[in-house]
Amino acid sequence: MGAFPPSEPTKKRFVSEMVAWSGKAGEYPNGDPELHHVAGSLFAEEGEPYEAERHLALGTKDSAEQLAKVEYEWYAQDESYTAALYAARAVFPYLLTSNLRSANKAYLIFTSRLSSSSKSLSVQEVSSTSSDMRVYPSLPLLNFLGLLLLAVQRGSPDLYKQLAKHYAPYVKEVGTWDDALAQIGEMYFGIRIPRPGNPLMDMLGGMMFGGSPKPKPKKVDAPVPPAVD
Amino acid sequence: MQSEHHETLFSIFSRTHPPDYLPNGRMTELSFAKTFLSSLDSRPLKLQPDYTANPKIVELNGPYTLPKMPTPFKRATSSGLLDEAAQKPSAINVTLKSSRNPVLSLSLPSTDLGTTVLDFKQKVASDVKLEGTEKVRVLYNKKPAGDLKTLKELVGDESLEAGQEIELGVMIMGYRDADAAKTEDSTTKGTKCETTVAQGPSGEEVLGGEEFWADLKGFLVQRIRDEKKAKEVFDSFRGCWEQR
Repeated sequence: MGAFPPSEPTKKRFVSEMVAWSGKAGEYPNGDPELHHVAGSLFAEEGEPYEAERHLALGTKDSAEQLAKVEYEWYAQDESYTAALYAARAVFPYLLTSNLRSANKAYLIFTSRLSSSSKSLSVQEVSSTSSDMRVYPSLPLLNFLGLLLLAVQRGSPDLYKQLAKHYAPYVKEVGTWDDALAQIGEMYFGIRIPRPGNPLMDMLGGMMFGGSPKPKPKKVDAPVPPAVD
Repeated sequence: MQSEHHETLFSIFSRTHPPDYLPNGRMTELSFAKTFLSSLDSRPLKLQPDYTANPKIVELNGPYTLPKMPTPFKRATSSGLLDEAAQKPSAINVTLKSSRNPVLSLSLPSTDLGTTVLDFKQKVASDVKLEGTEKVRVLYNKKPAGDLKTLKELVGDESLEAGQEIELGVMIMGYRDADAAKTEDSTTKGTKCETTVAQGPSGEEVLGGEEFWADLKGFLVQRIRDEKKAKEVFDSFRGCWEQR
């Protein structure tokens, strides 16, 4: 992979075929994490954040750091109030692949870079008996991500609703988070996504299968042993 | 006078008791976070913070990524902006060092940052005439490094200057001094010796020989990084084995 010159157009194709092959031939249905990590890191280095995201999201435990760095570097080129938009680009993909460890790691790396590079940013420490949190009064959505990461560990739907209520106006302003958040709500908090059905399909389904099947939410409340990578 | 006093008290109060609500009726971030954390405390923990689904079992429909951003990502190297990566040199001087069994010092001047740990292992293996790299370990900051890691990843965020020297530790597992000596003595026996290195004796034969114990001790010292503790562990290992 490293042998490809940076702007070689066939590289993406090569990498995606390679990863697909590793998924079919190896023991990882989503492609070998090591390959994803190497591919994602290369794309990150070449300034292809979207490709980097696609691979680092499925990489190894080292990928979280790489992805957080890419997102931070990207953020550094944007307005200071946009921090959460970039942090979310690392946090959501990991949450949606049930990789809480990487989601937390990416958030931690992103926020510590933020704190160390902008000394004037005000931060307040809040702690309770079981959790600690750094609150950024000027960046509500960054707090939202931090609190969400704590809430998914508990998985009770009222916590999610409490968060959603407080941050609704900010989330609405972002506009692109609804889909991810709905999926997170379903995966971790058991809040079913209302699926607007196609009436014709529902009717056909009803005739053929004796009732429309209920959509199965991907729930993660039975932890499988963590991967040893 | 009275009003001045009053104002001072008020300003102290507002500093120590910031308002919980903003003028628009919303809770401030701080007080919301406080309330939220205390409601977290009452719920049982269902997933550990380091929870991961097993990637061998979970099949996904590809990774989820958020929609594109309005701001394009500018890679500094192409646009000429200042960037950490651009300031870093592309090559540094590397020394591969093993302090014992066998003592080794390979210096590799101006090594490309894209060089992988596997490349280093191959260099070491060919230097000590080993077949394959399975027995070679490369350590950075005393920690073993994976084959796929590049020099750049190892060095990470450390600031580098051109011409800087870094040292990587090398360990060769199960290396036998005697074999190496023979290899140096006569080149004709070289191939034969290499096979002994690769296969070697097994079972009781290994445990009876001094080399195994020397290797084990070497490993413990390197791993524990405390000669005294390592000796303690080693002695109890060997004592137990011999008294079994």
